Amino acid sequence: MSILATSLKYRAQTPESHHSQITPSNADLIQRCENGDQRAWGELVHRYAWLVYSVPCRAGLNETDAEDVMQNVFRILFQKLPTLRDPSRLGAWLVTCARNETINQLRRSHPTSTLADELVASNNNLHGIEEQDLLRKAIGRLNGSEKIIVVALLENPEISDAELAAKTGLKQDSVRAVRGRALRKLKETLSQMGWRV
Amino acid sequence: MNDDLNLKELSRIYHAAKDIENPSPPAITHAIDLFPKRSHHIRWHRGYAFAIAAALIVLLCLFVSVRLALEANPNTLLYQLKRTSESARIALASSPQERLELHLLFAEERIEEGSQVTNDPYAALVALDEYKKELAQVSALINAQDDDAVNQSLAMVVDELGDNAVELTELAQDPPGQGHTLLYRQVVQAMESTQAVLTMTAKKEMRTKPFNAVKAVTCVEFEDAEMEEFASAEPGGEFDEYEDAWSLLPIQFKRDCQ
Repeated sequence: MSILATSLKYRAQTPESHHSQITPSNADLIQRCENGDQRAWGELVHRYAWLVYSVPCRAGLNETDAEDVMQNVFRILFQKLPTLRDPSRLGAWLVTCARNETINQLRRSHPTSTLADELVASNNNLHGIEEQDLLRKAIGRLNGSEKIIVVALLENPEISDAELAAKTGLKQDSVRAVRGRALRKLKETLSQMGWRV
Repeated sequence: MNDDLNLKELSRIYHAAKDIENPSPPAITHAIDLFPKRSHHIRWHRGYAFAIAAALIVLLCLFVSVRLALEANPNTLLYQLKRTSESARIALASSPQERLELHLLFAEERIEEGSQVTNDPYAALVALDEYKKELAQVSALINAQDDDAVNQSLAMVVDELGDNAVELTELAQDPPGQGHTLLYRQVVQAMESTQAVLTMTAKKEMRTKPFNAVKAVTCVEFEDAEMEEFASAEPGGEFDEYEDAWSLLPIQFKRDCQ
């Protein structure tokens, strides 16, 4: 059975409400933020911290500047919370906001450099950034040996079962079973997160 | 395997992301702190601001009402509030002496109210009825308390009730709503109550301060001009001699005291 088929079967058996209880939607979190729920804001920050932070990092900013950009982006998000139109597109909105703040930061800290202009001219290095974020989160939900196997497979899709057994300390038969289960879980998790690849 | 292609695509995405670390925990904490401090603060202050504003409005209304009630007469709506605030002051008094002084003060206030409502005999009736109640409290305090402080205040009782007696005399001569029998009877009863308390005070004072006692009795006998003059004199003055004062006392009263 393919992973995709397994995923579809899982989705058919899992009501959307069940999923939303586990991971609240952006709309839910924003609504709770507007009602003064501090934890909802914390969850939003944790959900998108890496996504926002990765934008200035890709543009070549150092750790301190990148964190400054992240603070500015979340400050803007906080101010704009009541006027956000499409919470399901929050990730894309944050990437755009982080890109603009990165350009501002580059112009402030490197006024003579052309890095900011290059970033303005090209948007390619931000392509697929949301998928990268989803993949990281999905990997983070796997357990110990599943995570080791999936990371090893993503590092090298051609890796043999023997090498996986050496990395995990499992027998090769067990590795095959864990590998299949881990990939199914990864696919299911990505699917729940709205993966569109 | 069917998933090989997917795995290669995932591998490409993974490699694009793997070199970028997570932001540091302090940076995440700082971002989280952007929200709660500001929001929580605003809500906290808003709630307290409403509560404080409401409390201030209530206090202001209460203050204005009590101020207005201070001038209230028995024929006005705020009179009950005035009496309630007076009762509260008495209840909060820290000593029997303070309670006695308050009852005397309020008794005088009742006579003043009675003389102010000249066009409303029924309001004057209420005021004088309340006057008698105040005197009953004064009498009870003098009788019940063997308190040194209360005993020291007896001179003040004599002075205050002496003034009341004079004012009641004036009311008796020209009562509000002249010709109103019930009101006239009420004024007379108020005078009798005053005389009774004065006599009681005089008997109590006779043992230690005969001059005060004489003064109290002369207040009762306000028909005699010489005695009235004596009543208004202070110790050490023209009538300082105890023997002179004693000679003026009614014989029956002297017998009662001995």
